[in-house]
Amino acid sequence: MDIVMLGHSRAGKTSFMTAMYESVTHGVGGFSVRAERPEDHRVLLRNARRLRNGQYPLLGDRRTVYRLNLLYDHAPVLAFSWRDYRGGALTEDSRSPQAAELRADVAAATGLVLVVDSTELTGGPRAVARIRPLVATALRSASERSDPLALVIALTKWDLVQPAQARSAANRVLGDLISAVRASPHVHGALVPVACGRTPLNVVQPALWCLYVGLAVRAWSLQRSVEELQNTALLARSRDTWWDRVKAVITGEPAWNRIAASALRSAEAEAELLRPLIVPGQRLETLLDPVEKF
Amino acid sequence: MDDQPHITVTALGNSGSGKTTFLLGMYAIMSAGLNGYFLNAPDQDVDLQLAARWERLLDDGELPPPNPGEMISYSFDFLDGLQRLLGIDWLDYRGGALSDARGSESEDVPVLHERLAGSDSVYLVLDGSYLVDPVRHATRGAILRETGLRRMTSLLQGSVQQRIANGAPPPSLVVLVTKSDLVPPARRQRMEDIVDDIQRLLPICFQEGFTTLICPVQLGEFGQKPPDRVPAGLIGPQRLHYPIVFSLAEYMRLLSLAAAEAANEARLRKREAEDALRDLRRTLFGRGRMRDAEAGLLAAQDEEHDMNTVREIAEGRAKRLYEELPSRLPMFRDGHEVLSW
Repeated sequence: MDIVMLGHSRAGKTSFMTAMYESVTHGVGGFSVRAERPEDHRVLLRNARRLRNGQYPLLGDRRTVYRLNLLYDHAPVLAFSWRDYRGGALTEDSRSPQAAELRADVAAATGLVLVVDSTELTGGPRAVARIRPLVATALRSASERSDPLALVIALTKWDLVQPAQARSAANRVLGDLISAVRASPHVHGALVPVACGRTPLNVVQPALWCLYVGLAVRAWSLQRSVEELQNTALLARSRDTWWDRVKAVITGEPAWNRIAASALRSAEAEAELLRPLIVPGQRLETLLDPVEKF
Repeated sequence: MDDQPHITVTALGNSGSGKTTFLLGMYAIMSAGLNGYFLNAPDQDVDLQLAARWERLLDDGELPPPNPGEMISYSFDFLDGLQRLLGIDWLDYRGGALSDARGSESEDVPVLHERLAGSDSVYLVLDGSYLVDPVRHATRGAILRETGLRRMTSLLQGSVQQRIANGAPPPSLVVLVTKSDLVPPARRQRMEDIVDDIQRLLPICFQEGFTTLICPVQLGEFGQKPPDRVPAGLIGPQRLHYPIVFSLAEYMRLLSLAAAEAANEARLRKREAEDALRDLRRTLFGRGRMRDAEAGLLAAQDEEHDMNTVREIAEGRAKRLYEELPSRLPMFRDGHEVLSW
């Protein structure tokens, strides 16, 4: 799964990513996340320690790609990438290599995390203008595809705002995007107020929502494949006759009984892949129950 | 993309009339989403350029400088949620063809004629500063000359005749009164006064065949003598999205009428085919012709069904879009005020 995190400069993207990684590394409801590269793991945890001491991570000056693994009960469930762009790339034109890279990544992403600074939500037309590129990017990405997409709006710095006021402003500024996604069958959205710093709030939910959607999509695909292979096996078995087996020996073409056996073996192999996803999927569903979905 | 229906909009207005600011504001508002609708430039660089110019205005109050180009075109998509409804081919024209002095000799005229003949909606842009006082006989000529309205009328008349000759309906018209905060509040609140002025300046908008919306728009309340750099805190755009909503609603209304007509024609063809089949069944040697008549009947049935579907969808869309427009915005069809779509 490919997750792209977007947001303006100083929206709190890097702090959020760092806090998320530390929290989920310690384990949440049986889940944990581990960076593939030891160096990434070390840097993310070091930044998280600094963040807890009130030192904010240095602003990224280029795209950072983390290759991560979701584990459940220490067993790998889903591999995913997390792309963190510097804020400026969002508003640069196609002459900027980073902007071109961002557009390609957004088009290919299966999860989008829009990081919105909650403290900017109440700024009138200026707030709308500031958040507009995020809305336009998400809208373009969602309207140009028919395959599933996980979309999270992470409202960062939630500890610095009046929740009721910020929630009302979020509805005003982001309400049309939320309604559009709600009406769409293939985009699965979640709105998550987030706070990093000394007392983190909901820092793992955005990632878990993307992973839940990714897991569900993979499970649906496997389930469909198992059913199709089982149907093929049934059909092949119904055509199995003594004469078909003799004819197969003469012509060298596969007999229906062999086709049935092969389809059943493939179905079993796909089911083997599906089984380990069922319990984590159900567990994630429970963990994400309090999240506002759209 | 190319298979999708699209609407062609042409905005005519002199340099400095406020067209660019209107476009920037309309795009900024609608690209962020409004009542479930979105406007989106498929070219992301265009999206960013328009947004950046609007942000500069919000940041430091500096109005966009006059655009050096005479014809500027844009492509937009209009979406209902995530569903793309229509493409919008937008052209801003501010060139010499609008000048009373040399307009008819301008080299832009043939291109502009062709453009207007292909336009589904035409915006006639009038700077609100010309409506500070009621338009009188003594002031009318100067206003027509200075705003380019005389040339706009002439260009529109020529291209509409061409459009009608091609079997297309006249374009919908929007009289876009920009900088409407310059119009004294007493006159602005009584829209009848503005309508009276527009009737004196642009009688073509009230002729048979035209549907016209009169829409005053403003960026904020900057007083009667606004400075070059407006206070960013006073920026509060008003009614900027209504013109495009009207253009799309009217396009959908005309589409529903055309589809109803096509469905009616298909129904007549169906009846003729049914009659022909009935006659052929009574003859002994009509087998070949019967196959043709049956094929014609099926084709007419399919077309009637398809056109009725288009009519229903377009009618529903037109209704929903018209409901977005406030009732106090004056709209005229064939010269009569429309109180309900």
